[in-house]
Amino acid sequence: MTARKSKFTLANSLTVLLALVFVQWLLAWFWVPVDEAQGEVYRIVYLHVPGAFASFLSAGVLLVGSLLALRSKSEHWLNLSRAAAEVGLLFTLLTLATGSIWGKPTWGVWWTWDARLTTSFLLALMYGGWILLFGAIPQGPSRTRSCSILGVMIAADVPIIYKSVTWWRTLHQPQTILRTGGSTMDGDMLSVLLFGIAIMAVVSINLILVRQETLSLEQELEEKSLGVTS
Amino acid sequence: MTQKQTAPQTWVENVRTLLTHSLRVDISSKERLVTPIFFALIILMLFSFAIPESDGALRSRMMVAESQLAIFFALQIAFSRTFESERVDRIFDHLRLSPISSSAFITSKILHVLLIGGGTMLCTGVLSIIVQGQAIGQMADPVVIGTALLTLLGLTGIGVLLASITLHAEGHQILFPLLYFPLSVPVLLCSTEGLIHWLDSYRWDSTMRGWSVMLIAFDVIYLTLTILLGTETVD
Repeated sequence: MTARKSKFTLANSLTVLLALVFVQWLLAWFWVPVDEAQGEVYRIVYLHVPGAFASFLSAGVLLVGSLLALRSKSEHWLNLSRAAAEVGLLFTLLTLATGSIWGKPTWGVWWTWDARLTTSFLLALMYGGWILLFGAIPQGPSRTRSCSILGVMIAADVPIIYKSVTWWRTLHQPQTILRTGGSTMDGDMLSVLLFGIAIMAVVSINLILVRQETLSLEQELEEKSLGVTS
Repeated sequence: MTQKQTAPQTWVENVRTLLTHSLRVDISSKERLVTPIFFALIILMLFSFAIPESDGALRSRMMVAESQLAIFFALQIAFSRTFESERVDRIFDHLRLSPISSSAFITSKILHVLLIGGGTMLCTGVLSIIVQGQAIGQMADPVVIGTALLTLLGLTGIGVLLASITLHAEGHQILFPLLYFPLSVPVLLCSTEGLIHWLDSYRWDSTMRGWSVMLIAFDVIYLTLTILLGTETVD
């Protein structure tokens, strides 16, 4: 009963958050000024950058879930890791897709083996690999341990992806928000973007929690049905 | 019936015993030793056909690509059989009866793969000199050798850990490269960029220092994770 109630609350808050995302998009389309160099196409940044931050945040949750699972040896925390990997994959794919749409008019190609693009693509592969590994090992301590270790490894790679535009020769524009000497963006643009990042971060956490709860319920149901059969 | 009493082994002795066992298994089947050399030879041959005539700069870039590819694929083979004897001969079950330190076990595996990788690297270098006429001085350059060894170290760290966590996974032969490829790319990128910069300029400047520091940082991260978390999987 308690679980159902909390799921209801999470689902409700997700609706509110998605409404806020819509408000942010309206602001991005109609309120912020157009970019002098890139024109209207730059507005995709209001979906692309929050998506990228959400995918990094999912890796953070994956790290926390993995460390807690390693410490407690509990499947409960593994469900949190699984939810984080799934949501992380979703947001990484969103980032790659929006980046590709942005890249075509800006660079003239849908895809190039640029450092940031390559490392983001690798992150998607890693999230996918985690999900595959989870499915390939039968339930038990071995799965908890193996998936948690991989989770820690994936999270260790996220700073590399974030810093890749600074370290490698790259087409992708350098860091414009979190940089020494302050942001290079216009104030109005930056405020809407930061609002979008904050909203998308909360949306991703919410999605992870909803998914974790669904996975826990599925697991509970499976265990009960196995108990009835045996 | 009396059993001969033996003194308990130290950590180093444990590592040595396990490493010797792994090497004996390798030596007992010749195909295990020959396969990486064949890989190196095939890669060199393909490059020679694809780029028959090359000048100095292109030749050195080819050397970097060939050696990285040869090591990458040879290590893939090494990792796929790293825990094979443990799985087939049920060594983990025997270890439950006479437990040894799990860190000694992981360390022996890392050393084993390092030896296989080092051997493949050496063979690739020698074959490259013989088949393609690469300059011995360039191949024996301390910076080139150092960078190659650091690459080997990073790839070994990540590979041994992944081999241990995919050991009980269904279809681990497919799953392993799927996980190994994305995690090994940062090490390969740093190494390739560093080597190309060095062979183009032979200057130990800020760019070269940057790549070397990054390569060492990845090695430290991956080896630390392997030693810290690898013991978990062995336990």
